[in-house]
Amino acid sequence: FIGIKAQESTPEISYSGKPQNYIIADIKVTGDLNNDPKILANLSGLKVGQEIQVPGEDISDAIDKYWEYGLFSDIKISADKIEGNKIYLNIYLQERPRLTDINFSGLKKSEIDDISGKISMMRGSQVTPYLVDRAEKYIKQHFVDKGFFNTEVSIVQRDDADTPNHVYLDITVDKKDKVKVNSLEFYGNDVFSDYKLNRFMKKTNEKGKILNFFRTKKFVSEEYENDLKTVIEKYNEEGYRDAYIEYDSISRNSDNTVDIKIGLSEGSKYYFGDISWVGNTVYPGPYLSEKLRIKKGDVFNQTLLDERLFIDDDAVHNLYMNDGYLFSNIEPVDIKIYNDTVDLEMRVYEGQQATIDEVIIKGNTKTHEHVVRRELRTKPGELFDKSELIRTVRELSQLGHFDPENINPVPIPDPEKGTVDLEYNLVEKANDQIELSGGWGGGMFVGSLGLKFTNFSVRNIFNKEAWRPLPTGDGQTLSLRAQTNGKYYQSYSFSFTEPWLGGRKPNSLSVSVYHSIQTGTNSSYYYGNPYSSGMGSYGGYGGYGGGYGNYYQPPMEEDPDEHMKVTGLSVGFGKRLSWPDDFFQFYTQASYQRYDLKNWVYFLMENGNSNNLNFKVMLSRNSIDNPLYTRHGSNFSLGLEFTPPYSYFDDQDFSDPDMPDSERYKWVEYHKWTFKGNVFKPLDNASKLVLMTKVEGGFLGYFDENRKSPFEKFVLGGDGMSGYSYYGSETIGLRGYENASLTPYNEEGRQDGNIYNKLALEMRYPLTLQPSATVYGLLFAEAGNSWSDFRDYNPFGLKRSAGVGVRIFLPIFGLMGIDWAYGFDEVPGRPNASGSNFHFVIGQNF
Amino acid sequence: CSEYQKILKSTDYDLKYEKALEYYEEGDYMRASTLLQELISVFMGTDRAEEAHIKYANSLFNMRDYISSVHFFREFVDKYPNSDYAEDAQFMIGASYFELSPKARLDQTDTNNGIEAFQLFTSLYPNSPKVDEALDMMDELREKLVYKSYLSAKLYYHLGTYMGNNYKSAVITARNSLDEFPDTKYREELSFLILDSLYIQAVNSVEEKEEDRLRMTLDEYYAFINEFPESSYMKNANEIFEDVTSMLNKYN
Repeated sequence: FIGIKAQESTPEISYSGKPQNYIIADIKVTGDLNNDPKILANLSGLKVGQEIQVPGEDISDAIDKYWEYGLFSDIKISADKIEGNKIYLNIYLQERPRLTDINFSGLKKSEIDDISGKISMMRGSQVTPYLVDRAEKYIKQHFVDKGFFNTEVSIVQRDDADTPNHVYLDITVDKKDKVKVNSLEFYGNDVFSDYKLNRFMKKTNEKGKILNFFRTKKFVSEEYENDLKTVIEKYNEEGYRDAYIEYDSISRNSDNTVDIKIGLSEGSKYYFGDISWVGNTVYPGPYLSEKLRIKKGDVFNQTLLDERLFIDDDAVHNLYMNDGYLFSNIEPVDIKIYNDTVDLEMRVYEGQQATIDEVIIKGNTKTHEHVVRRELRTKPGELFDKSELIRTVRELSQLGHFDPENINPVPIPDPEKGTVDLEYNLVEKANDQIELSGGWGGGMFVGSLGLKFTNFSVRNIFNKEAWRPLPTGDGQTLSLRAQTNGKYYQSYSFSFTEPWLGGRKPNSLSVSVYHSIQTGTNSSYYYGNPYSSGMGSYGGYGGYGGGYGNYYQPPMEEDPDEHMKVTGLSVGFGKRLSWPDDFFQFYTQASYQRYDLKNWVYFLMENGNSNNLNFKVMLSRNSIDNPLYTRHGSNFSLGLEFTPPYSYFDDQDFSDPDMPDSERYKWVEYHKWTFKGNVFKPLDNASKLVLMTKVEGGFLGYFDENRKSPFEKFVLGGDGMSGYSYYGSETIGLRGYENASLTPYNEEGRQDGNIYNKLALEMRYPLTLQPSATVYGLLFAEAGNSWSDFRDYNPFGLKRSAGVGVRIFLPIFGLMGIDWAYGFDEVPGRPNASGSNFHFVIGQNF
Repeated sequence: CSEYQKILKSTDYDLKYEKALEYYEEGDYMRASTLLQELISVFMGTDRAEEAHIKYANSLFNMRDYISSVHFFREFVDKYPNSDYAEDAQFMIGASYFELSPKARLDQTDTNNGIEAFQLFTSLYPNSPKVDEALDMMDELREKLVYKSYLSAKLYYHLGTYMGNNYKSAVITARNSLDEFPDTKYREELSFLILDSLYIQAVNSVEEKEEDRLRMTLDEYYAFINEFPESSYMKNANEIFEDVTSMLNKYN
């Protein structure tokens, strides 16, 4: 490389002569420069005052350095002047042009977004021929992958007139038409009909056939190759283990379609012969054969064999994996093939049992380690057990403190010691929720503020350093909520749950307190629940009630001489059971509510108070895999809530119809039974599409016919929002009908739902399952009704509805959603209650 | 428009550098770092780049932005392994992790990184005047890890027989910790926890394992009193001894 270029009026450097030493007197940088000349000069590594040899390596090294930066398209170093041993250097740099902007033509906005992220050219970055070339190839490939085989891409570099040494890139993409499949023909197939083979080809389908109406007709070679593999797999599953694609041809037509011909060689059908086991010492061969559930004479099905050996929950290999044999392996080998029968030898390598040594927890940057460790079923000193590991992952995701899609247990085996370390890698998830809502209704503002901290640490409440911004990490739940309309209604609630009371056993303790005051208004009557929930949840896992939207009610004036005050307190205790199995939980709760009324004409009695002391026992079983987007498992609960049966031991006669309500309901009595069940089942192989089936029902009974409880009734219909509601009733949602519209009324005009039934089917499909947002769509059909009395009860008289909706879970705001549903059945006396209805949902799962 | 604003906008890099160093000496790390950040790229390839880089990282450290300071000290060590400042930078990597290391109940990745960084420092620069300081900090980080395993062992001890035999897990966790950090200050606590767990396991044992476990407890007892004759747990240890020896009578 020529180190110094001789130019007019600059000193002549002789390359033939002996190199001479000079001292650099000055360095000047020239050219079209975007960067500071000083910075550019520094890049050369040459310094003023440095002694260099000319011609020599110093100069060529400097030039090499510039090339390495890749920022310049032309580099020259020359001497402006030489005075004695002083040399004045001139570095000429031609920088590569920088990108002003990219203009796309021929593409949709969404396609541009897809692409521009990946071609990694940013405004202001340098445009090199390599980058342009790569972008062109990338874009073309992108569309070919989507079935646009004839895509043409051209990239033109255009100077930016406003900024020197800047360019625009004009990217023109002509996708042409998609290549579609004109015909798909199979040859050599006897076992499967053409129709069946067509069905196996999931992504490669003929156009113009009604059967393929909902299927893609594009030709994408990658998908096509996968489909061919599927076809062979299907043959293998039917015992045709020799089946292969003999030939396939794809011919292009002028109208952008292809004709596909596939020649199959099916071979003959095979059956399982004798299956023998070698190398097994732990389990006898016949036992393993029984577990394999494949008999001699069964059709030879490789997929089934793999599933029964390794994949199913009760696969043969899991016998070993669940009993410490972490290093074990089973290799099926064909030892004899005669006629149509294959004898298999299962070569078992058992290895030694691995004991768990250390259990390491990583990624808990907020949650204290003991909150995680106490939940782990894999403990030091125990044999490695794959099923316990899987169960632990499920339970960690239930905790709610970690991203359920990102729990990653890594076994680190040490074959020499016969031990394995388990490392649980977790990612913390923001789990606290804030609810701040406001609405305008009845000529006044209704606002509420709710805070729910799910990873609170009470013991750090006096530790100043822990307030960052709140003491967290002990997995306790604290929720606070206040709601007011500023004029005549206020409510406050507080609840706290410690999931491991005392830290030694997972016995939970929940305490909640609430109070609401409502002063009178001059409005005559209204029904339903103009306020949303007062209590988020009673301590369990429930959602967080919210206030959203519908605050409409007729304008009312305040009347301070009238009021209703409700005060409540409850204490609950939960225990995990190990029988009938360890998914069961038992919950018991005592609670007390006091209703204090003064000149109150809207409900029950005008003056006096009513007390409700009740006990609740609930048996539940929960085996769902993930609380946010549930795919597998079920959730059942059976509850009984009852008050002491005062009627049986006090001698008062309640049959007198003139008895004042304030006396009749001084102490409320009832017994209430509820049943709820949800079952989740994935419908596709990727476990994305999930079916939820739901059955629930309840019954509110009395001890004395003349002393029926005015509280704790079921209010059916609508969005089902609210945990604790206005007059101590339980709100059950039924979409497609107005709120509370499916609730019967008694002679006094009060809601009187004593029995209810509800069934629902819901299909869910996730749109995104990122930790920052979980979004899924749903389709549902449901039916339900409520009745006053057993005499009216008709399990077939359900009101039906169907609809669609979407749910969004955001870490701070919790679950939100909107549903549209259509109620098919008329509601007597409420002509507008059914039909098309929108429902907003906050913090509750249907 | 303050002097600082003027300097910020100026293109006189010598002045900028001079002022940056002035701010740095005054302890105004906020301003120093803003100026130095720019100068690092300006001085790329010169002697000054080194100094700007290390002082920038130091400023970040002093501003308690330890996540960034780790990054820049690491980058410095990679870029200028032979620099006079490399020793300092290596030390500061450890010091940054030391500051990042959270309380024992949380993820200890940064603690482990800190120990690793100080280990590298003491082996690369065994004669550095900062070696003692590094060793002290390393000890503190290690003790945190021991404390963490002590908490784990204690948790297993408290869980007792919930979902299996947690005493066994307590023993393994405590022993692993003692093997890894033999001279920890929690040695006595861990040792007694082992003895106590073994004892509870032995007395609640099924018959065929009872004798074995009692003898194991007895061995552990002797080892314990041998090592900690003055232990504050002595009373409990002796109670264990009496109970175990009386239970062993039937086997003699």
